Amino acid sequence: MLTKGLMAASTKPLILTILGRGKNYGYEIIEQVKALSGGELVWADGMLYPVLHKLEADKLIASEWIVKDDRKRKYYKLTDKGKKELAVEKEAWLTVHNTLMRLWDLPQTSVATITK
Amino acid sequence: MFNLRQAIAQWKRKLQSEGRLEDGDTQEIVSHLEDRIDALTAQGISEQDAFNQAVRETGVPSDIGAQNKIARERKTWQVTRTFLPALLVSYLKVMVRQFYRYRTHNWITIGGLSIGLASCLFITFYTLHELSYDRNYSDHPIYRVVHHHIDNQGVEGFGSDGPIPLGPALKEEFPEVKTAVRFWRAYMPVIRANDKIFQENNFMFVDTTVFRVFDFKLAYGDAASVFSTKNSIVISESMAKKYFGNGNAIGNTLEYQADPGGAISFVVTGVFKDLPDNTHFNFDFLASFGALGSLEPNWGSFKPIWTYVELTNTTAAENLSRKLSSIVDKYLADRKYDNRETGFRLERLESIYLYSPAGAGMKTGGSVALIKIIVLTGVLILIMSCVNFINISLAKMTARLKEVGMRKVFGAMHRQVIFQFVTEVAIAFVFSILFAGLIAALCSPLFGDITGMRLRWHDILDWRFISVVSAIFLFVVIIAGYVPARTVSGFTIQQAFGKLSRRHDRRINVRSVLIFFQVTISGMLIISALVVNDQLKFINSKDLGVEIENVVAIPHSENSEVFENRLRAINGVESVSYSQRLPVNTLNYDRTIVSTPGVDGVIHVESGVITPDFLDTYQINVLAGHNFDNHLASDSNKFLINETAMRAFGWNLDNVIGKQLTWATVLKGEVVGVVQDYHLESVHTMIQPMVMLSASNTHQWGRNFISIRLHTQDIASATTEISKLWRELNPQGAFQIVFLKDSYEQLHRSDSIFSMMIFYFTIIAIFISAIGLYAVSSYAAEQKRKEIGIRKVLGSGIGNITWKLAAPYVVITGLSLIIVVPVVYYLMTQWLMTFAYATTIHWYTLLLSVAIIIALTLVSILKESLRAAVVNPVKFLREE
Repeated sequence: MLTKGLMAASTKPLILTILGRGKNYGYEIIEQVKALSGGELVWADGMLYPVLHKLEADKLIASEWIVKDDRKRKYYKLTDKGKKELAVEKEAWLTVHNTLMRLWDLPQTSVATITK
Repeated sequence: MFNLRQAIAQWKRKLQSEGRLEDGDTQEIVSHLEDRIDALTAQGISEQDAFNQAVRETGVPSDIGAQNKIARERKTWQVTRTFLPALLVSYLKVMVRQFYRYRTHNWITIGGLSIGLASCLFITFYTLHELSYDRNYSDHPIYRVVHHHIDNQGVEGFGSDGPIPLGPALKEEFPEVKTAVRFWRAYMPVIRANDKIFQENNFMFVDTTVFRVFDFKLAYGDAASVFSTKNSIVISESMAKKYFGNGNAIGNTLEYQADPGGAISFVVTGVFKDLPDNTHFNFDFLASFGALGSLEPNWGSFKPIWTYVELTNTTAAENLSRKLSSIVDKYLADRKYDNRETGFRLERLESIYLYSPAGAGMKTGGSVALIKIIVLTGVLILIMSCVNFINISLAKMTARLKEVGMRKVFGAMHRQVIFQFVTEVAIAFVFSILFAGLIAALCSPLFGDITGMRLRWHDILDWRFISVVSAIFLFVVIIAGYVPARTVSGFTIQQAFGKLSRRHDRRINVRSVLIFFQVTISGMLIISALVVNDQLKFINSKDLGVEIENVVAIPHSENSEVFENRLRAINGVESVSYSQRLPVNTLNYDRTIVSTPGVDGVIHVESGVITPDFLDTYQINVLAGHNFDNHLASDSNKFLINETAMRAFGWNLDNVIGKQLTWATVLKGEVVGVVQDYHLESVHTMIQPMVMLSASNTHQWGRNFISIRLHTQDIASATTEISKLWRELNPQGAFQIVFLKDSYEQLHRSDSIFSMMIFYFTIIAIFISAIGLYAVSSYAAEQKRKEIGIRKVLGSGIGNITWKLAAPYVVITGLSLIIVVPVVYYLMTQWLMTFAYATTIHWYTLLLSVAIIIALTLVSILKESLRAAVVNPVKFLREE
């Protein structure tokens, strides 16, 4: 189980990464995170939306309303600024990751391989 | 049966009310919920369970709302600041329009506050001036030595005069005394330089150490050497100009003729810069003590000599004070008796002007009591004008709730509304300060006329004054701006547009308290002013014991018999007499001791030499016995005494005649008559026991002055004749004619200053309180327009409505009077007790004050109330 602080810190790169794969809406983002983390990363669902709004306010993502299957959903997609931010996040997280890996004598991940 | 659609709709409302989410955000989360329910029902879970689980997973609405608010606010924060420059124009426009719409009220607010501030400016200036006396010498531990005694009646007395040898004796006896300086005022000397002759008032003989102790600035000459020769004199710049014209006066000769010393010729060795206003020193000539030759070390006679000592350090003063009694034991043993106290005291130099019980000496002292009253008046005026300002600002803000509502609809934040209102108040205040400066500049000539002080701006721009004004500024802006703005901006839009009747009532009450406060203050001022006025009138109309109207005094003349005969022949001269001293005149005095067989101890008395006509000239009543007789040589050992002296010896009118007295330990004689008490000094001072001697016919001694009573008509021509005659017989003399009435007025100048100041400030207070009441009542009338309209339609009369509007103020005034009258009565009784001769507070004074206060309230509120009551109700009712 992850601590609250780590959860909060990881929200931004997770959302940015998922949106980096294409535009998406809140429910689907949560489902993807759940599935990818094997149920380890579980948010109170409603709490995702304030984060999305904040990212939107910071102009890292942009939103639009799309009606599909009779349901109105708000889709988000990454902006150019968001893409840059994602790269920064990736590097930051990998730096932390590699530092820990070195300490634990485990194989490290090169930044270059990831960004390509 | 569970209805999913209904449940979702219900949850959505909850999200809106508890989470306070906007529509878009709600919609987003609701669609999330629906997705989740779909997914769960797809797994075969029942709709109700799916809904419950989905709601649980989504989270608590209020938490989501709170998080969302943070996310959204960040956004607002980045875009919007408290102050939007784009809105400045709107703020200004609204301010100007508001200003124009309520121009009367705004002028009242700003005008009232400006007048209040300007008054405070003057009061501050006056007070700072009074407190600034003799501060420039304060780095030296300098003290003045005064004497103190309690007579056998238990009456305490102080005097700043002293015996000739006191100064040198102090220096000799006590190691704490570094230097002693004596100032001996010569009695109205005639000064002659070349062809210029004048009689001077401020001529001092001083010890040569004077420039070592006091740093009186020299324009010419060297402080260390000015008194190196016996006959040196240092004069002020204005005297140098008067006698010798412009340029360096050093080396010129001045002829002096007076007591002490007789005729002396002085050489000017230095010129000092004219003394500033704010020192208790007052002299134009400083002559060397050495010129008087060797003086008899006579301890028994107290002369107009002021003795100052510079001590080695400040802590020595306490030590020295304790040891001073040894001087009395050693040199003044005959003055010390059982149960009576005689001694010397030290007074710190800078405390002399305001605090000395012995008086300032060289000039009239100030009064701490007066300063306190004036400062209190100033504070009250300031509070009143601030209350006005606050009151009107409060009223204005409540009237502008609709504007606040509109601003909120257009997205104004709490902070922006506060900013707008606070700025408006601050700008109004700044205007008031500017106006106050303008008023002060315009009124400064009047202030100068009253007080004789010149308003200097650099004195006012003193850090204390500025910090006080800044503090007031902050206080008023917070109370009149920030607090109401916060309340008003805290209303929701609905509240702002709503009726708000409950809040409205509360506001009225705050206002009532403020009005109460204001009426109380102006009531206090009005009553005090009337009592002060009564007291000053009482003092002025007090029976002086002498009749000084139409009496003039001139100096002694040469060839006196011829002079007197020709003088009596002048048309208009009613009575001529000689005396050593003049009544109601502090310049000259002669205090001595008398004793009598059968009465224990001595009595300190004023003494004076007169000719028998003196009693006629001044119309002094003889209460027992008879006047001196011109033709009896035996009168040389007879005394006239005053009532106070009679009582001091424990005699009465029946047994006083023929009692024996020893005057100044040398002259033995008997009492031949008792005269009614008359004032030698100002009426603030208690009349002292007095003993009068008969002037000998042949000597000038005791015939310093010729007092002449004139007929009421022909005063001008008579005085011209007198001066012509005197000049004819005294070609070398300096003529001076004194109207006793003038010198009396000069002696009581500080009273008239005080009375004028109280008068003007009371007028200002009344004005401020009147405009305050006017403004507040007109606001109230305006707010009740609809009520008035409906009442009129339903048949209410004008009188009825006016009374309804005016009644609260009348009640408030009544309540405040209940408090004011007893409080002020008590305070003013305390104040009156500080006078030697005090009036009582008359019931009609109180009645008059109450009438003035009620009239003031009615006049201020009736105009607007009446106006509101007579308007056609249609005007009010058609508005909505």
